[in-house]
Amino acid sequence: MNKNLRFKSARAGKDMSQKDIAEAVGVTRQTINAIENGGYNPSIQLCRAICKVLGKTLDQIFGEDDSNE
Amino acid sequence: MNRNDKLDEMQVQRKNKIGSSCFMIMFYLLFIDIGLHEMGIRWMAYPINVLIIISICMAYYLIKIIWTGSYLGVSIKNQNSRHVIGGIIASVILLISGIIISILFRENTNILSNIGNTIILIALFILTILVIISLGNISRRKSDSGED
Repeated sequence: MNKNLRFKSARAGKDMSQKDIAEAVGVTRQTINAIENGGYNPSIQLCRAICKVLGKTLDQIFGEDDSNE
Repeated sequence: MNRNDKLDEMQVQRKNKIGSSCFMIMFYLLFIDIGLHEMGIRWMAYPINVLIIISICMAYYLIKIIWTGSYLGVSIKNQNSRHVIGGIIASVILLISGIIISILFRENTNILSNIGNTIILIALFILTILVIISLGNISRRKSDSGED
């Protein structure tokens, strides 16, 4: 699977570490790392929680495009 | 305590995957054991053979879930490692002294031998708890691994 660069850049834009996101959405840092690196497909609930924390829409972070399929 | 309540979705998924593979390994090992038994090969007397197979599978399960960071959930924080290491060293010293007391006074004084046995039991109990805490710490470190 490809890396989710949009998630990574949105996180960097908010100046949040993986640990900050993980604590905000109630998962481990390992899970956030796996999502960013494309090693894990999160559930829709987790996707929505991440988008809420980052202030983005589902499409902006997890929407399909050439680099995020 | 149900640890699954505190695991996140990826941890639960991994734990379930490891659990099912572990179950299949146990099934095949027991199946092979029955086959060997029917062929007249008895590598270990019953029920030790079954106990060994189950213990191997359980050990594999425990090691694998700790290795993947799926043993402890999100909200559980690590205990202070220095305290845990200190506790383990103290328990080992207690265990050794218990063994020495029970061996030295086994024939001379029965009371001291009983005290030695009691010390061994207490030390083993404390050691078990500390080992479980250590395993939790290792799992927690694994869960926190990653890059920013």
